[in-house]
Amino acid sequence: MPEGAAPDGIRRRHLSRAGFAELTWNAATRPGLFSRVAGTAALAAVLALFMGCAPKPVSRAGFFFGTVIEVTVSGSGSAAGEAALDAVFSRFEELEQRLSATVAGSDVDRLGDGAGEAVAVSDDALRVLSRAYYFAELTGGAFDPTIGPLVALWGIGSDGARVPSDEEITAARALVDYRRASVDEAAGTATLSAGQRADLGGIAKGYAADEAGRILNEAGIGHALVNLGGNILTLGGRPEGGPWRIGLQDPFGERGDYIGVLEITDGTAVTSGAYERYFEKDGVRYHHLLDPSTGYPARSGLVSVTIVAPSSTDADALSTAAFILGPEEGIALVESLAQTGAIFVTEDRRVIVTVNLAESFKLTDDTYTLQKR
Amino acid sequence: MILTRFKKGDLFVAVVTATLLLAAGAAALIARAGAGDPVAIVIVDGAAVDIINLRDARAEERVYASALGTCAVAFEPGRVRIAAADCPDQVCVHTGWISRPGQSAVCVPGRVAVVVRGDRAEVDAIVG
Repeated sequence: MPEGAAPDGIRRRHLSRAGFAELTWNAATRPGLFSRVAGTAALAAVLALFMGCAPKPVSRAGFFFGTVIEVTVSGSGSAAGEAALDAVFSRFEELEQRLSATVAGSDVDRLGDGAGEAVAVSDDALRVLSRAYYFAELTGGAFDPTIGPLVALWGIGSDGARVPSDEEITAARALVDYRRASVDEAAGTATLSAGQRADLGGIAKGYAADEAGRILNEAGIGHALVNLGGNILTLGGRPEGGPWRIGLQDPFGERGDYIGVLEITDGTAVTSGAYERYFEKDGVRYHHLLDPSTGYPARSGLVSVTIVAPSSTDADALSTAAFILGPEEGIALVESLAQTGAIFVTEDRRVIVTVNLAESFKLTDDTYTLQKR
Repeated sequence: MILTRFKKGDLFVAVVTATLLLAAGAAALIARAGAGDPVAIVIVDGAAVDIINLRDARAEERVYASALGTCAVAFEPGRVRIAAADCPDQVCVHTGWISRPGQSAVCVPGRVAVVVRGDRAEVDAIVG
């Protein structure tokens, strides 16, 4: 769900009021409410059953970027695993405070408030913005981090979701243009033109996943599965041996139904899907993947695009861009990039897989047709 | 919160009792569960408060209150769902029934989650 961080003011308010309690279900935990302790004890018992004698994985979950994040680590002692998870979840909180468009006072928020002038922002914001502009350039604006005014106008994923008038869309669309925005890494500043607003919902979760991977790697964690609401990053393979097995969400099914299995070792997979966030009005479904060139949800014949790449930041931006570009241009884009693969699912239930994923992806649902490149 | 009305000693007793009860419950569950049965874990405000072997689940509805909201969770043999919630977006309710390891129904605004886990899952996670 690359756009997860974007449009949900309601969730932010709830979250920031109560802080960022993390869910934890491993053996060693911080002292807390009795329910936490009791639940943890019971869960540790259940996990002990599941895991048998294998190196004991440690898991934790929390709510960030408008979604639930689960991280499981193993291949290290559980104390080391706990410490690494502490570092990862503090980092998630820090990144949300800097990169969310809906957290008041975040870098992205201040950037919009100060539009027209250079605004000093964190190194994280500089890095993500600069990568975002790179992909905006590469995709001719199909991915555009200045999409803020359109995201706010539609409000998809929030209480205020509605179909705007053509005039409103024209006015908001006129503000969306990455070529009128810039970053100055040497000066530590970023600049938008008057009226523009940034939204990093299509890339920030990927960056958070990469940061989690970096922290876990530096902590000497051998195997990890990082799941940011359906964006997956893995370190190593499964603790039991072999690659991680990742199910590809069925775009027409229930959450958790999958149409095929993707095997990944030391890599990331990110999906943009029309089913992730949407609302319905007069029988029409409006999803959250807005096309900057029309101002409306993209209608490219696709229902989902999954990108497999070494960098989750890149995979996040690319999945959004490829969805908006559609199957032909999207595949051309992916095939032009090194070490990057994709799985496109079309409205007419075709599954198009790039050559480099032919070995690692197996379609398991025969109501779909596999189309190899 | 209700907890603030308790004295520290009461809280300690509650913690120990609840821990023992739940641990005993988990032990009983483990003894009965066939290895690999899907298990529903209900997480409220960051804590796992219920663990239910879905194979043995009876049709019932349980209500969970977090600091931020209330969720009604419906169980049936083999499956579970969030049946009602007082959150604004109802994403958790729209998720519908879940039954297989790896699936989850999550109320982000209310901070209640139901996750299904098991050790014989065919996949480790779902991308999407």
